[in-house]
Amino acid sequence: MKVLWINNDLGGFADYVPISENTTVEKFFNQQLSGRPAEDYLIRVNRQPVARDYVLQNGDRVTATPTKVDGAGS
Amino acid sequence: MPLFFGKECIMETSIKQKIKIASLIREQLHLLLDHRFQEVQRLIYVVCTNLERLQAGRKSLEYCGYHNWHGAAARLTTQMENKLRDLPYAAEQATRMITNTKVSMPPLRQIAEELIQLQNEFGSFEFDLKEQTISVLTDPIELEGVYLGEFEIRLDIGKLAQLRDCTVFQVIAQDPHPAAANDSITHPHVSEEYLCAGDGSAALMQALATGRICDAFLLVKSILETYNPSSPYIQLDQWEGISCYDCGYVTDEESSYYCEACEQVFCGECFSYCRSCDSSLCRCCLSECPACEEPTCESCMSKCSDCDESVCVSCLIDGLCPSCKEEMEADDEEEEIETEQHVA
Repeated sequence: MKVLWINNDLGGFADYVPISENTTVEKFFNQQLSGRPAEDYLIRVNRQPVARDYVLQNGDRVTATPTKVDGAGS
Repeated sequence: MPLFFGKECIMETSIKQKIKIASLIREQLHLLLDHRFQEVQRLIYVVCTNLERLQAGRKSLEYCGYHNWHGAAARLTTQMENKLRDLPYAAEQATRMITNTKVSMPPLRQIAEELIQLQNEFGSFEFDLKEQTISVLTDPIELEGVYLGEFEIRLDIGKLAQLRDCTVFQVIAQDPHPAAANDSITHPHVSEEYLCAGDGSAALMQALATGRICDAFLLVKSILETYNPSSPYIQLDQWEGISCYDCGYVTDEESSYYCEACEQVFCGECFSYCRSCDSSLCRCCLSECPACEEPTCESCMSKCSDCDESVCVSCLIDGLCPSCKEEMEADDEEEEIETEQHVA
């Protein structure tokens, strides 16, 4: 079983990631971005907001977009 | 049709319309890939040219060695040294560009889904067919207690093919609350309607190049909703107040001064007073007396009747500046001595 994981933090690359059965979106996020608070990310599964206990399915598209990104200027 | 910041907007676009927009985006992404392959070709050409020149240099060096031409050999090795130094840079650039070409072209359906998601995330979006732009509106933004208002985030689809930086996006304040020191800075990370994406640049470029349009808009929104105090155009603690007309430093009303001569407001550092008449003026409206080097206003400066140089009235004695006065006194003294000697 695998999901398409798009991490919009830093490089913003997409990759297929294998997951075990009954992996919730919360568990998956903690595995991929351990130590990062989930509330600092906009998490979507198949482009839709989901509950943290949503169980990922084979082929799901998971995106995490940081809600705090440091811009620059000078 | 509903209105979206004064223009007609596509709030409930049909699938057909979304496919039309997606098709335009895909066309641009194809062109972008073409440009990137051309760039790879150009960079590889630079690497090859350097290698060919090194090879030619090696042969010439061999010839110089055979004839013991040390001077020519030294010149050749200097040239080769420069080529060798250029090589890693050119190779790195080429490798980076090759990485940039390794993107899969998103199918039309995927881009159309991005547009549906964009509509869901922002409530609506506008597509301007003539300008070929997609725009969304943010909620009102307030950072560290400073109200900045709503912003329109506008993607220029036509610029996607030349994607090099974040200038594909324009960020337009709808109810501008710019920094006191500079009207064109409407957000700590926006100047002249262009965003400086900072840490978000790489992810933003990657999202756009792979057709993840909604992700790119969301990243711009995240940048707008975050304040990075270590690198803004203008610090938020200097956002409001009165900007000094001379140096741009922002102060509160109590610490700013009005110059009656030029009718502008200045900070304490750029403001002074005339040492002759005590009138308060900005430093630009005060001149320095060449004799005493004190700031003096225009009306307290007077010309020396001998050398025509302007000095302050305090330094002017009998219509003469100190140096002319001194010279005249020396001349008088000399004349007196001469007269005394003549009489004796």
